[in-house]
Amino acid sequence: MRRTRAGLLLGAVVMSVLCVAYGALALRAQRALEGGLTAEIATLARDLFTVLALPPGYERLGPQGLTAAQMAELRSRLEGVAELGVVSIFRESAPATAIQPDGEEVLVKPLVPYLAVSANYFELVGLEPVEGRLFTAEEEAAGARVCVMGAERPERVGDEHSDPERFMNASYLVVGRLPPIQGDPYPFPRIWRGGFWHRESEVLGGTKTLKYVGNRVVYTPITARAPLPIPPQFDHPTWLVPLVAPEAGQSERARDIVREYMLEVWPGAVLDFGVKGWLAIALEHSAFRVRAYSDTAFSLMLALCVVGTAGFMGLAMARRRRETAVERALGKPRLVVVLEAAVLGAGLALLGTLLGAVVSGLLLGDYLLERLAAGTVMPLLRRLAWIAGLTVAAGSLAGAGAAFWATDAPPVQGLRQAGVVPARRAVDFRLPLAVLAVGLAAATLVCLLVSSRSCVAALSGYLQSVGERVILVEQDLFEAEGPLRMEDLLNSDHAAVLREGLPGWTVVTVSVTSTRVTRPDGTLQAVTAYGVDRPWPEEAGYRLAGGGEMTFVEDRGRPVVYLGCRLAETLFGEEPAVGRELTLPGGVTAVVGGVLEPRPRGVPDRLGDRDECLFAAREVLARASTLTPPATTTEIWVYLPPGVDKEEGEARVRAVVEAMDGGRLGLSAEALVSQVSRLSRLEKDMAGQQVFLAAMALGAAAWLVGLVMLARLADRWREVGLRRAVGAPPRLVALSITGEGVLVCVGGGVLGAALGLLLANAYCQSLGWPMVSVVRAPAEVLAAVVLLGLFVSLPTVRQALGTSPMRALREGDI
Amino acid sequence: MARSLEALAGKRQTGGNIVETRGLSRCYRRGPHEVWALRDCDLTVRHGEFVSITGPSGSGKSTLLHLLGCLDQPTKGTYLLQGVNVAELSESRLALIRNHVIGVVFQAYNLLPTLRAWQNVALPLAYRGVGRRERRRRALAALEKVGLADRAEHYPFELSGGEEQRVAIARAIVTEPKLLLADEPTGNLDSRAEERFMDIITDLHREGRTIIMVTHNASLARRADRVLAMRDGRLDASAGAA
Repeated sequence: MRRTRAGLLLGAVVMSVLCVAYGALALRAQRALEGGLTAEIATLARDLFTVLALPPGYERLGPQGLTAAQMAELRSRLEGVAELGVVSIFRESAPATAIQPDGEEVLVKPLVPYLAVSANYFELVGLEPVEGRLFTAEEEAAGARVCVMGAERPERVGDEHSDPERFMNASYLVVGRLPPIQGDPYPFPRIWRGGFWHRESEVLGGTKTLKYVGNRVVYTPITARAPLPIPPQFDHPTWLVPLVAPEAGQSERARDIVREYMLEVWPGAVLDFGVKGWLAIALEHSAFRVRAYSDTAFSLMLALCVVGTAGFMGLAMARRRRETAVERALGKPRLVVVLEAAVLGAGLALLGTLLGAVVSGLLLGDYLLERLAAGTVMPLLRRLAWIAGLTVAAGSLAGAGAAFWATDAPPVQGLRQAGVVPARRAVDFRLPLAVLAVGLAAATLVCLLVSSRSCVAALSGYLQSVGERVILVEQDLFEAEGPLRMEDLLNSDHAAVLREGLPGWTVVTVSVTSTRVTRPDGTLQAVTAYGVDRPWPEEAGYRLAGGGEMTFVEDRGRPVVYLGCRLAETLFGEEPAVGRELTLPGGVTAVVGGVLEPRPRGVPDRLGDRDECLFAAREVLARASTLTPPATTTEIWVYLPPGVDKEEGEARVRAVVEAMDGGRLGLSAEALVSQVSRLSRLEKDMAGQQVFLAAMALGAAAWLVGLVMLARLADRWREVGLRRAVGAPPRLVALSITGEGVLVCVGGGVLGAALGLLLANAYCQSLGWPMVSVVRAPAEVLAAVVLLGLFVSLPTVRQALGTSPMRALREGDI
Repeated sequence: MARSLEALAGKRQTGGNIVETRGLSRCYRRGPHEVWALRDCDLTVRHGEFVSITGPSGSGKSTLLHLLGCLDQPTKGTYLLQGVNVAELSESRLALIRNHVIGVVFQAYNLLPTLRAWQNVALPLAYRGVGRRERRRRALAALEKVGLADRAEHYPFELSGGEEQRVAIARAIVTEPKLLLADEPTGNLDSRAEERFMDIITDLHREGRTIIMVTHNASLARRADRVLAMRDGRLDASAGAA
């Protein structure tokens, strides 16, 4: 009897060990994920963004920029949320001419456009300026980093648009970048503006009006890597553009503030925030919600600890039922019994916590050392202490609860012979307790499985829709060595080299253009156009509505468009888009067909300020790819042929790229999907560890079920003996016991699966993730609990059949 | 075994031995201690015989009965039940024997409190695969035989001790066993209930059933065809043979 009771108390200790270890591991997962996500956010999409607003009627009014006062207002609104820089685009230094001895005026310094920025520009974009002087000869040669050419006092033009000093409290720093473009006689700033506007004059009703058309400027540090000279014929006004650098975890809030303010200034304006912001926000949501997710999972474990400990302690107390009854019969108050059990529960939990701390130390060892070295270990220790405290409290509560329930009956019942079957039906709380224990463990497991799989699916879903089959060749001009020539910039010639080096492979040059389409009502629709130099491959997943192939045709000399169906719905509602006209940069186009765009998985609708669409018209493609300068960065997408996996594809493309580039041009070849594969791995690793612990908890709960079944057999020992005495076959006895064990486990599993799905759904919805593994995860857990139910029933079956019927009838007790 | 079971479950036989034991012994071990509750018991009971076994408390009467009822396994010796050595049988086979061949009336009734009277009686039939309707019919018939048909729907806690014992008898005979064993069946009954019980037993004997009853009540024991005495785990040698 002592041995059995010790085993039951050991079970209570184990629950605490699991609880503490799980809490520690969840904490590590949470912190690591947060850290990993934060790093990924910083690496993948440092969420700097600028915002340009096109107010209604901008074509006639001209683009508008924020005034200095408005910039100041925005800055105050972003206080504590984001740091604000200012970019003054389209600035141009005045050309300088010199008179030659022969009297001829020659151009000494051409008009050079540059970007004037606020003093915090370098810090925000993470560049290293060399301050306050002209380029040195060495820097002019090659390899110099961005340098500051010296302060320049802004020119006053009588317009507050161009007078940022009123709020900047500092002089402008003129930004240079590297590498300098060879052939440019003046290695002054070559700032890529991300696009351009050109001004056209139009005669309407006899009145000459100015109209600004062209691609909208989208300036982000990412697109800033493709600097190109601006044709000097363009004449642009200057205006101030906010450069917003959100604090960690504040990207979405910063965007909301900026969006709100811009729309206050220009109601109905179209805003553009950047190309890859959605990824940053998705990652940020993950970082934000990891803690809530971790806390929820730990709460489940804590509840399981309470239930499980109560179960084990209840069974242990049942073993002392007669002793307790005698003590109470002799005058020991029930309250004292309960308090003693509470103390015992706390003691067992404390023991479990200490053991759990040892286990946690093994799990968190390197992490703790890192934190210690960084001097940031105290928050972690505080959190661990909190986990330990909660676990001890759970043990005490469980002990008190078990004792309270065990002493519910008058002492005389405990004095009766153990094993007497009660005269009337009585509620056996042990079964619901066991079901609850299994349910909580199952809920934790299902929640973990679904949430982690949904996270991975959401984060990688978009890129995995094409990413596994696409190798992206990009150019990072900051990494390029030496002076660049125009032809060095990634273009279709590079694509041709790739086609030659990879015969039979589909290589597409893509220019990503942020542009606007004019709706029939004259308002603007923000779109992102993918300009390609050849038909978009089947693998991209774009399909024609109604079937067929995309062809490149012209309709009466006008460019034609295959419009994305989702975009068409936005533009034209329920009316058919085919035959409608759109005003695009450069002219009016006709819609000749619809394209079914693949919707990126996991990208919430609310994150998109623009629609993704595909323009397959040759004219538009040509315009997008041949614009001087091209509107945005150029990428080359290499589609892997069937039978070539990602690793092999990457290696082969990289080989061609390196041969072509020799490492000079800063070209890189990487699978699209690799951009988030690191994050997926991190998530999977952490989830795997948590799932392991949650599975252990399920095992502990099942163990409790087994002990409950043994206890119930003890109460029904005589009944089992009698049934066997009147001829119940052994298999029937075994089936009955096993069935009960499996039923308890499955009952708990079903309840737990439902609870786990509910929690996972709430979590995924808060992050805008589509929930995956909705059937698979519960099915896996239910299969596990069925197996566990079978397994934990074995000892009881063995006990029931291992004793003769007469002994069972006589003894009535195990 | 199938042939043996057929033999055991066949029509009631007249004449011949239904029970034969040779050197039957049972030892209980509690740690280092051994207790021989039954030693070298040689017993023969003929078909249709009513045998009572008497003896003081602790003499091994109940132990012998339990072995005869296949409710326990002997430590040594042989036990032939209608010529079948039950010691060689598996637990599944023993369960079949307990269900088809033997009926046991326990001193403590051992009714299941969660089942009604007719359900308690019908319990052995359930293990034979008999349908519910047929089980109820036969259970009611058995209860009718013991005079409790009107109490069929009552739970054991609603019955008196004597009524519970009669339900236990009904359960023991519902399967029409070859051998009816009764272990101190009147130990918890008052005299009136005791008398009623013995009337039932007598009627059953008159029907030709083989009955072995353990009792410490000498007057009840004398109502049997043969009375055997036990002491210190041993059967009186002169009384063991039929």
